[in-house]
Amino acid sequence: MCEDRDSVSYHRVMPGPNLALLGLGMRNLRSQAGLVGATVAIAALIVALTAAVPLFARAVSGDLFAVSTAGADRAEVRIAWNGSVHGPTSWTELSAVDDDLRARAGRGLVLPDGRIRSLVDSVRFQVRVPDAGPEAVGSTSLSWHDDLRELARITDGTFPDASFAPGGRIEVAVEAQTAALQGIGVGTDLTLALRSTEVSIPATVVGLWVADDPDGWVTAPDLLADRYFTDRAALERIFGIGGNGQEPDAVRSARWLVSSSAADLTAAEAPAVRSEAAGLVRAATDLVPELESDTRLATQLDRFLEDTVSMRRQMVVVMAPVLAALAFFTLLLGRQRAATRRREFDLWRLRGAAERQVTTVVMVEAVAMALLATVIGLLAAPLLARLLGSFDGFLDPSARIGRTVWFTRPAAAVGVATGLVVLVALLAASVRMQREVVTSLTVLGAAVVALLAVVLATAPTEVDGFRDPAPFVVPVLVAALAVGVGALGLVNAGRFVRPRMVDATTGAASIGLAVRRLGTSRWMAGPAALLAVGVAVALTSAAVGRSTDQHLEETVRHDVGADWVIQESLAVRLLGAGDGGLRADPMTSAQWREVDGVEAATRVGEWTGSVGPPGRAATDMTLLAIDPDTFSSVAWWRDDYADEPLATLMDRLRDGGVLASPGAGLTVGATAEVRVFTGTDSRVFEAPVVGRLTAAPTWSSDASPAVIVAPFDTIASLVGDARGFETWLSAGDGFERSAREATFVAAVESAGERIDAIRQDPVRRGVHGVLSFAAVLLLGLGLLGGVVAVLFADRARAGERSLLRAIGFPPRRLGAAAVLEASLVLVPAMLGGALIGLAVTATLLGGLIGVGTGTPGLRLVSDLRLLPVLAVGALAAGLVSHVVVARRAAAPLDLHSFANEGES
Amino acid sequence: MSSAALVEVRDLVKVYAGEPPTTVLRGLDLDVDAAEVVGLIGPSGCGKSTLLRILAGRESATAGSVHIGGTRVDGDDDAAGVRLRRHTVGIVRQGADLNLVSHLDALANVALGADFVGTNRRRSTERAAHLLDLVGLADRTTAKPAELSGGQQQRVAIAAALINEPAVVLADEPTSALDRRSSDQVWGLFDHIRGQLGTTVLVVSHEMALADHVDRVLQMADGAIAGEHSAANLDGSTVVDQRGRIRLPADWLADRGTPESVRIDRDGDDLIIRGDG
Repeated sequence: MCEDRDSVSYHRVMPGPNLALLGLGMRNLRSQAGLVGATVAIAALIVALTAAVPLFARAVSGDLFAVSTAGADRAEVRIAWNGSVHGPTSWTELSAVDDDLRARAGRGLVLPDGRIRSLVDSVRFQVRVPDAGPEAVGSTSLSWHDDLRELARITDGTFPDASFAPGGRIEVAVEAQTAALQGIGVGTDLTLALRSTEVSIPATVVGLWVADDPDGWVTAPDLLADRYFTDRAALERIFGIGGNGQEPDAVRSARWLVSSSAADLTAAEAPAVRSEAAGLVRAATDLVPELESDTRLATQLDRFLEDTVSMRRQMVVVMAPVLAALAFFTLLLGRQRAATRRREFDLWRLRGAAERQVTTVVMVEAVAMALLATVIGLLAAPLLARLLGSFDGFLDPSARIGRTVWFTRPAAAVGVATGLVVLVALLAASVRMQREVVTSLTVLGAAVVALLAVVLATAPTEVDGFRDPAPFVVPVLVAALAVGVGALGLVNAGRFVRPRMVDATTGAASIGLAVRRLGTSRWMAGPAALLAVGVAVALTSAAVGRSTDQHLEETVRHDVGADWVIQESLAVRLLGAGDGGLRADPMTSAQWREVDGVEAATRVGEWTGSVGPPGRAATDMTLLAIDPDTFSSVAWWRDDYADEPLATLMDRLRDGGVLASPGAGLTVGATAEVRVFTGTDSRVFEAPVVGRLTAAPTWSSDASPAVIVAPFDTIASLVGDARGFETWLSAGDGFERSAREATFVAAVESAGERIDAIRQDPVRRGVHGVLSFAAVLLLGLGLLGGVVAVLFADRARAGERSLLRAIGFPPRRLGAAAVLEASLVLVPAMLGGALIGLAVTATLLGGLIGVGTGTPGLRLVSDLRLLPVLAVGALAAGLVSHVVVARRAAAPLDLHSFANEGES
Repeated sequence: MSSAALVEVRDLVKVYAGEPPTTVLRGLDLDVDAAEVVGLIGPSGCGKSTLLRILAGRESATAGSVHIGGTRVDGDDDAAGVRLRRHTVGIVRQGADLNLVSHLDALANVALGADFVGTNRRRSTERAAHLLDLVGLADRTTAKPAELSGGQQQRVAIAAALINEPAVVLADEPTSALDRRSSDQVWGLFDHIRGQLGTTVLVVSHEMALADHVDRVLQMADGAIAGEHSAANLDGSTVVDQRGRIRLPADWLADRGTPESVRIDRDGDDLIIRGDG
């Protein structure tokens, strides 16, 4: 009897979203718990690493900044004032710091004749952080040539204007109000006193200036705010500057002094001040060296910025391949999931599922996994960031992350991470899918990109108020990688499928079977590629680390010129030999060579001047004087610094010639006129150019366009002054153990110490730590991927294995074949990856470290002994997989598995 | 040929591209009336499964037409194919692993098709339970496919094919992996559901046992219907001649080969003929 079909409307379609599909997706997830769990874990790791890198960088940046400012929340701004006052007989430079200035505000400097003549030539700003140490941590200054033109405008005259001040006279510009008070105008001839040499220098006023700031002066906080901080509030919070934009008292008083000291001083007050003037000069002079020895805050912050950018860049370079490998791993798992469900999808279609519905279920699953991974990853990211910071070798203990690591804008972080993971998960899950999925992915990809753009446009740009110069690099790169890897997976999906049966009837030796099986499994291409990438990046990381280490050492030694450099004049002072310079220095080069641990010594001098053809020495020049007999035994020199070997060049120098850089505009064989500035006058000599330098030695402190290298004796006889002379030492360990170390430690500049100091730099240690971490992670992932893929392949071949058993293959031979097969994949992948890594390293080095003119070139440093280690590692991975594979091969014959053969 | 046939196939041609092209169906005509159970037999490669795929809208015909319930079936129209499989045809394939989702229990497997239609969950569950009861598995609703015998799995598959009350059930070798007893249960089930639900069944098999359970058997050969045999024909009038000799159809033998000798055994009411050699 027929059922009453009208009694129940079974076909009623429910309005709204089909929640049944949601439930179906969830049930599917449960049915593949292992693969889903692995996928979520990998995706969570992607999220965690993606988020941890910027978190780590920012936390480290923040801590470094905190270390730099000793965690103080308030700073005191001081101003040191350098000026010159014209006395009855000479000009004497005057310097003072604000403590003195404040005490003497309004008193000014009064000359015996009652006239006040002051000429401000620089103003120093000094930021002092309480508890940062006995001395202020930094200062910055306004110098005429750089900052004046930015912060002030010339109201009269032209500055600089060489034509206005002919005859080599120094040009100066004077603050307009001061000039008015002192009766100085454009064209006034002055005499400047140089403190260091006490030599008077004639100068001509060629301009009068006023500050662009309507208040009359540009303050240090303004400078800092413009350059380093995104908002004034952050600056005020850190430096304790008043929130109403008021200058600190010290700044205001000092500014007042600088601009108004003379004006407010009345003739009645002058006598009272007069007696203090000389004392002030003495006090200021004593204070100035301290100022000069300070680390300038601006410089420090500049370097901090550069380090932050550099660290971030290097972390991105290192972590991006890690993330790509993880994304690839996710694709591998997604392929496995899709492969095991093809029949199920087919059945769905038979049961009336539209392709869109299949896609929907897959997406529901992918999104569920992505959200789970995102939550786990975001929660793990801060922990991972702290973990990175807690490893020995990552950070100096003083710079370890001590603050709470969390997202500045969690919503943005969630948005970016969710979008990326959903994209990766969808790509992985949809490799099997049809055009509707691809269309959906396209739409979703566009949405994610749009989301990313929005998030990036509104993402945080600072940490603790400190400007973050490159906050978007990581997510952008990761997104690009995810899209790229996903697209690659889609495009190449077809190449990885369709396993072919091994002809069991011809199966013979294990090797033959392994070779035939090789390439018949879709899983083998994945691990091979993954492992190759992993090894490549790991080797790249290691090689980059080693190469940059060597580059660092070479750069420092090249900067210094030798192992140890003795500033002779300082040495003289420390030895109490008086101010007689070289002639009074008891430690000649010959004597230095007698010191324990000193293997060789030479002398080097440096001057400035000009060079050119005879009669036309107009090109600014740095003159380096070296001793041809001993230079090569001490100096740090690389063959690419000159066209010819150093020994050849030294031979030619002994004959009286000079070496010239391209900037000198002189060819080999030409005659050079060299004008050397001695401080008070200049000396001239002519010599033939006997060699060409291709890179300016960076141990020279001057950045002149031309470099001339001349024999030391020639220059010494010409100049006759020890100033600028240095003794360079090539010293071994014994030198550091020498009893003289204590005496000379302040007098020498040690390349070794500099290298150690740079290596101990928290940023650099952090980068090296991340490099090592990435290398370990990648190798681990590569090996894990290899082993897992071998197991996948074995699982997919359960029927084949049973068939081979059925026709008489012994389990042992099957196991051996599997191991051989794994090794045939893993070993070439390891070695191929190593070669790729070396090639990639060579190209990356230039990108990782900007190589400027004159610095040593980067050389690839790698240890090829690592290759057999990698091969052994691959074999070990094969053995690991052998354990399970062999156990399966030896298991009782599973006839049911025949039915599962070729499940795809 | 009936003008009121539920399934109408006219001059159906299917050619697979290749070098040379393979013609599987050659002008096949077929009519199946509502509530009719029809068996389709024929040698391997004669086009039985291709015909079923075309009827299910999963493959397009090279020429000819297919109408089910007056609606044209077009394998190139994916949306129409989805509608067809949701509301008009139910499909049972050979091998339980192709019919059931391994991680879903029997009830969920039966209700799966309703999920894609968007049927109210409570109603689809009731319907699935009813169908499991119909196929005699009311006590195995929570069993996973691996916990069921082969025959039970196929019965669950038949129930799943009926979830959306299709007009036609297309069964492709549903008993190929079953023993005789289970096969008989499946064959009997088709007759049962026809009786209970009025469902038309078109079943492909190479087992002559189906003749006991279908209204008629269509013989396919070389891509066309070569003959039609009612159950009565096979039961005696045609195959047993006036002299009492058993005469098997030549095409039937062609599918199995002519034995050098045969042995005849009696099994209750059945006469078992086995070929030797």
